Amino acid sequence: MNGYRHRFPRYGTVGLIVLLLMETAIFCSQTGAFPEVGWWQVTTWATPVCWWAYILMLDAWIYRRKGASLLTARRESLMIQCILSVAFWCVFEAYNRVMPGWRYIHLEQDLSWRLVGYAIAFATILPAIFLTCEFFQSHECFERTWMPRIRWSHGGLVASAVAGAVFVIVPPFLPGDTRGYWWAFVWVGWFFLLEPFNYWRGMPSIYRDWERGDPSRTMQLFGAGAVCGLLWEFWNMWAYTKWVYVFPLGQNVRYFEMPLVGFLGFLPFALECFAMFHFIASFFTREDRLGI
Amino acid sequence: MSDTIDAAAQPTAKLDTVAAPEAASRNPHIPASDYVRLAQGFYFVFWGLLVTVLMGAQLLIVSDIQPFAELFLGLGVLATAVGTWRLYQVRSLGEPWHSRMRTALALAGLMVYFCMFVYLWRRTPESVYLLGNVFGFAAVGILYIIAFNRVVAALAATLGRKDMARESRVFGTGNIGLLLLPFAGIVAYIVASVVVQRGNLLSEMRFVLSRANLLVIVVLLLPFSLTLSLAWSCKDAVLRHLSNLGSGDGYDVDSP
Repeated sequence: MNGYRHRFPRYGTVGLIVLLLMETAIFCSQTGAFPEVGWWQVTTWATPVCWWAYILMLDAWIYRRKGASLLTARRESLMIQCILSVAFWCVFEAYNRVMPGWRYIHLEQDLSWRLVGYAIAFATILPAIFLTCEFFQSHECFERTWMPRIRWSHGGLVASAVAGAVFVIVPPFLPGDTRGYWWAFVWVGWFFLLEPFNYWRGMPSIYRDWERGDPSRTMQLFGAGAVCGLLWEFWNMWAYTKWVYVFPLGQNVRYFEMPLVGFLGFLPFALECFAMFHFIASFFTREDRLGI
Repeated sequence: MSDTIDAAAQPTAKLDTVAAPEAASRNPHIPASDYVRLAQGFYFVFWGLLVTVLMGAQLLIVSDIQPFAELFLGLGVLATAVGTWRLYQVRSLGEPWHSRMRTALALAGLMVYFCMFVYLWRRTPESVYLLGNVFGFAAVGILYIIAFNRVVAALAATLGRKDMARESRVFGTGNIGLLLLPFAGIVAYIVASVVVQRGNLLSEMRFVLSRANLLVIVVLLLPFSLTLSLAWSCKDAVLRHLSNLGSGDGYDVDSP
């Protein structure tokens, strides 16, 4: 038994081909091959195209491994994830207006197309992170990790929620030139704020995992954050429409466009997405919509 | 002892001899705990909406408000959301109530969501992106008010309160006529000014706000106040039912 009992779905192959075509376009645009072709018009859409191709491939891989996946068995969940993904990222974009951390360049001039591009790109964030986590889970990565059990007292959970509220509320109120230094608090704040509520309401919760002494899901989410963080920056680097970082920390040590210190933000960001998703879901269903 | 009551034996039958049997046939059992949820829910919604409307109007017009005072908007929105959530937890009033509450809860959640943008817009008022989301907050707030009236209509039908049902319909229509349509018109005017005349979104909005006089403000706040009065009367009606339960006025109940 090699663990692969199912056929690799065709949409996974489509995703792979689309990704290879886009990489070819990016390569040509960077090397100046076939200059008569307007490669920049193609690589303007590099981020959403690459990420949707990645989602198709990864989902197909998970299907091959488990016989069920987001696209084959949980399409409703995919829709919810896409909608919440756009909504969550719009919040971070709002923070970005107040405490500049990044800015976009070479955006589509037509506002309608730009909005479509935003929506398609932002919609990939949650599915990409959760599918990558599910990929790790399907391969039983980090399954044997352990940690000392944490006993959550009521006071401890309240303290977490209060600290999280301070982390997400205070930074925009600080003096304008210092706000950029406080991004780290925003990246962890939503997790600390919402996770106690998920714990209290009996939803899938990282805090509950820690209480059981089981950090496997935490590690898998960290892994998903790291992989997605690397790919975000990798595909962003040579795209025509892209983002560049303007926050005031560690600008001299970079990987791709991202200051190296910023990479640390991707790890808690995955936990934050998990907590935010389940917090919203908890008001409408008690079912575990992610299955990770 | 059962913790539910038979709606067919409620005093609503004395208030309205026609509606109560009809309601009873649809919702024969209303647990006493649901009455508590209803009372808490309407109480929170009343105070939450009141604070939200007052602070929202202040934040839109006055520029130099202390950050501490700004927090009251968030508290108001949170109280509204908590109240709506308590009302959503009431499951014994039938499917019309539940589906309307689902809509109201979704809108309350969106109000909490867009409320964050109001704070961030106050920090960076020149951001068109944030201003667009502030408009979103206003639109969702108006839709919530309309949805809340529909919720009250469902409750009034269940309680057999024809007067309250009629009020909720009239106020809901008033909300559409006096709030939603003017708001949509203002947004359309601003967008048209910006797109056609290449104007600035912020200056167009300031121009619109400067045209608001006392009469306009009173007319705009009227639907809010009517809806708030409806929320309060709902809470009173529910409490009246609850006190009847406590006095053992023909009910078989052992828990609040």
